[in-house]
Amino acid sequence: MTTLEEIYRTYGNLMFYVANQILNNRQDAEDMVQEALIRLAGVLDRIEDVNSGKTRSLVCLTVEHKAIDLYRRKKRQTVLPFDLEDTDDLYIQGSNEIDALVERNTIAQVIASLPANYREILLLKYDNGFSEKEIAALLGMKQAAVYKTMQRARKKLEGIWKEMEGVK
Amino acid sequence: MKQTEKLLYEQSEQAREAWLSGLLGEEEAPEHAFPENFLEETQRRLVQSTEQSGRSRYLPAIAAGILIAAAVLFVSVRFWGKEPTVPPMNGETGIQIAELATTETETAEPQPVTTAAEEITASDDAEETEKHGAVGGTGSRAQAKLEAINGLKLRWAAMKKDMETKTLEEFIGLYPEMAEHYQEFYDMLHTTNRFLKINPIYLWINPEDPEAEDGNILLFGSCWQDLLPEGSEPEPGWEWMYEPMYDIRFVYYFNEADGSLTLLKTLYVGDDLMRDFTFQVQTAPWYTDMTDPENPRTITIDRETFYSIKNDGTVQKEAEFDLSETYLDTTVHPEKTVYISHEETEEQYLELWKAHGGQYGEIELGELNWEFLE
Repeated sequence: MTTLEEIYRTYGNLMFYVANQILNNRQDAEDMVQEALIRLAGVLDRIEDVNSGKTRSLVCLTVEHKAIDLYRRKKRQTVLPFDLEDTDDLYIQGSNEIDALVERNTIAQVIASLPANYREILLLKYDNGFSEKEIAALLGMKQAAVYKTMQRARKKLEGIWKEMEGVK
Repeated sequence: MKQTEKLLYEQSEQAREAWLSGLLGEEEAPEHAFPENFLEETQRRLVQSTEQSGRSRYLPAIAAGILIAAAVLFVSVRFWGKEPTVPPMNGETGIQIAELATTETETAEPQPVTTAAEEITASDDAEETEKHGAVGGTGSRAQAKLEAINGLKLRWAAMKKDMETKTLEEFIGLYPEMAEHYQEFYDMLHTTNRFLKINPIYLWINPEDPEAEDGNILLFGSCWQDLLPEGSEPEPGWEWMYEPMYDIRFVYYFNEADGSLTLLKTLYVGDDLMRDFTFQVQTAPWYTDMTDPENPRTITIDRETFYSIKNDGTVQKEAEFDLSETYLDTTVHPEKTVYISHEETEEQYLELWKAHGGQYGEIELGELNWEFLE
């Protein structure tokens, strides 16, 4: 079975990079790497190959979720120097974005471009094969919230997909 | 399988790669010098959190069971009289339990904390006593049950009010059954520009036939809803909070001998605990919305469907209620029952159905009409 140490040795730098991109604070980013590792400890038995793309995605999604959570918490308490929405994921709403996606012609690109909370849950479910319960434990969410977010993510994806079909 | 699901399964690997390549491209993440003992510290914290989680797992449930029964009876006794047709229950027992409840609260919080229920009671006491006489005497089983239900209603109404006025510590001291869930709601209530609305739902079995043998399971629930101030937009990523979704059910056992209530289970829509629901519960087709405790409304919902999982693992549709009609039958079965209550549970049910070897799409799902919340 994969150990926490293997995850840390393999992905520590990457995890820090992902967290620091969001938080822009070394101490906070390290804290979130630690938080994410603790969460990942609960799913080590589900990791077959520590070097696989799935595992890489899993650790990145987990640390990203923790970092965004911390960012939002801090944002509520203080005024931060910049707005996460400025650097956050692409929100696909306007027709230009849809046109651009149609150009690329792939639903995978759309999934990858969804807001972080949607993308995280969809990938954990459909790529990593986690149940809603496992996702809730991994991300520190209520299971009901996972269901709700997943439903919204699928709805959003369906909407974009239909629009793309229409543009074609 | 729905088309979107199929698409997601097919495209998820490419989506993952597209996202990961967007993170760093072909580059490696830059080297970061973590503190020397970083991994050891992480492992130490992991052990610590595991131990804490193990210790605290059962305590809230035990405390909740004891305190809720005490508080419910306390409130029931003190409040009785709001329904002119029902006499009060035995006062002596209620007073004893009220004392116990007070002691428990004082231990948790050195400063005396009064609940909204107590404040309401204090102002109403004189009038109630005059109207109905001194608290005491014994009612029939039906009366005692109705009294217990009214106690639950009042407790919930008080909880709603206390949530807005007490500190977190005070609130948890008064309502320990909410300790597990309340932190995030409370944080949201007090650190953001939003507020939280609780829509209590009261359901119980067979309200018009309380003599029925199996009519001793009470279902009491609430729906939590986070609301935005008028004219505001939800913060991206938090939109899900603005829909009624925290659907909680407390399942009580009503002891006919002494009129007490025991909390059997706390259930959440979307939670695996639903799978352990060992009672077939057919609820009354209506409930009271106490969103505004001063003006409770009786509301009818359209349809409600229950499924049960038998001991052999098969899933069976047990009942479908046309809730526009009065439905009064009551049964309690030992089979595990799935409570299908709103659209999210389609996912739950799918998981459950798959787990039992079924095929998606073979079962018609029941849905509650949640429009009443709007």
